[in-house]
Amino acid sequence: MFLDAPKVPEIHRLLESGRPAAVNKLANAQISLTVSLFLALSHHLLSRAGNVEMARAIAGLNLSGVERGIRCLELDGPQLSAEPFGAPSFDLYRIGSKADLLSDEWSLFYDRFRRSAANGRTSGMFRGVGGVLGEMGDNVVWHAFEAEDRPCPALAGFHVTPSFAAFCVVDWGQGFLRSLRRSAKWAGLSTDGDALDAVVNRQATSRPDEEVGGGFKQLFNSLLDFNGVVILRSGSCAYRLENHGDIRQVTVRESSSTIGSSVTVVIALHGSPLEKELVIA
Amino acid sequence: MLKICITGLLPANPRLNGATVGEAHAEQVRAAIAAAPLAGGGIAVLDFGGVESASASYLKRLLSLFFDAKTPPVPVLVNVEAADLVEDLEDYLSNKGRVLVVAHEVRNELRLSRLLGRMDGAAAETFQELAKLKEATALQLYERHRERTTNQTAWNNRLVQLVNLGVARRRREGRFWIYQPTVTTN
Repeated sequence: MFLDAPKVPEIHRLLESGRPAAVNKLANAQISLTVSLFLALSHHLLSRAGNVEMARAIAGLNLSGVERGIRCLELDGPQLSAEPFGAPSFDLYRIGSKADLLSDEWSLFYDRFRRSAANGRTSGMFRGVGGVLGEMGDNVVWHAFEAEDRPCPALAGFHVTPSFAAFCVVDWGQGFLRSLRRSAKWAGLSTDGDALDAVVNRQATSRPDEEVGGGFKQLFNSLLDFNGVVILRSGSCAYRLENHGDIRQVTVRESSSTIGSSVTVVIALHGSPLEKELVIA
Repeated sequence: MLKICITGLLPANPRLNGATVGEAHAEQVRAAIAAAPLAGGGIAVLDFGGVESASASYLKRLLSLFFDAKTPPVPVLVNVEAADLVEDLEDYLSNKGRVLVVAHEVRNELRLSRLLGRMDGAAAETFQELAKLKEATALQLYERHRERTTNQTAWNNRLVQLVNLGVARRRREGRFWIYQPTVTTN
């Protein structure tokens, strides 16, 4: 089972082994949206690096959503949706440049998430969560990219079922720690855990002209209305913040260092909010 | 008067999210300001009609264009109607310690609807007084309320603060600065 975002370092280790046979351990695995996006990004980077065998091994797994992710990353040009105003259960969007975020397709994408998650319910809460997906995607170009002319590949995706809604943004960028260290205020941070703590608890931002970051505050505030969980992963650390009414439970998990970062948000209508197997209808 | 429709900026969206879109919109507003003569008391009217919400990162990029500038135009917002948008603006401005004028148009003239954001007690009191009088000098305010401050300088500082916040403007007449609210109050 490779459902949780914190499983990503484990998968990263398999890929780092450089042996296609190791990748086969993932054959027939149940994977979540986050893992699916991570594998698609891994395929993309391995292909670009000329590691055709490993890339082929990932594609050959035929895991849910991975092929869509691979195609999405290979696409050159506008990411037109067949149903721009639809409400699909699963959808993806590549974030490789500012242009991707300035395209109408981007706002249509996160509006499709809002529509799918709301499932006919009219509520400002879902509007808020759709907006948060927009903010998290926006963070990629400001924080994951080392500079505007030094982008990194990233994917945003969502998965909605009648009982839960999840979205995720995975990037292969510089991670929270390096991003924050660009600001004099946060230059002293030394670990990935410190960086995540600064973002979650002290509204840290890498933008030199800004005192505090607002994106994650918006994310957590939106989640207050929901039975939800946020998983932030960067470098060697994963933060899991679970919301139960007024009580927020934080779990920190250390692992081996993994490139890039991810933000996963799961909202459950009933029961515990958990990442679920990505099943595409 | 320079009027900019926010929903006319590209990419157009009733729900405005992200610094990237904010930056793109700020660029278009900057270009419109540069192309327009600064008439109407140096005011730029930002028409939020049709906008449902705006995230803090969007507002930061759009409004810093005005807040960081030391010169006009002063932004005045019209058609701020959606409840979410009002809340977004209030949150952003309160955190920033800034205030924005929201106005409505009456026969092609702007009239004050309300202020969004937070002003400290002394500034709020001075603005109320100025709104009541339509225009005033620091000396006039001091003479009307001698019990409140020990000298005229305090009123002068308060009035300058209102100008810096964009809720008042001033013109020189002889030795005096005459202050008035950025837009008419009734």
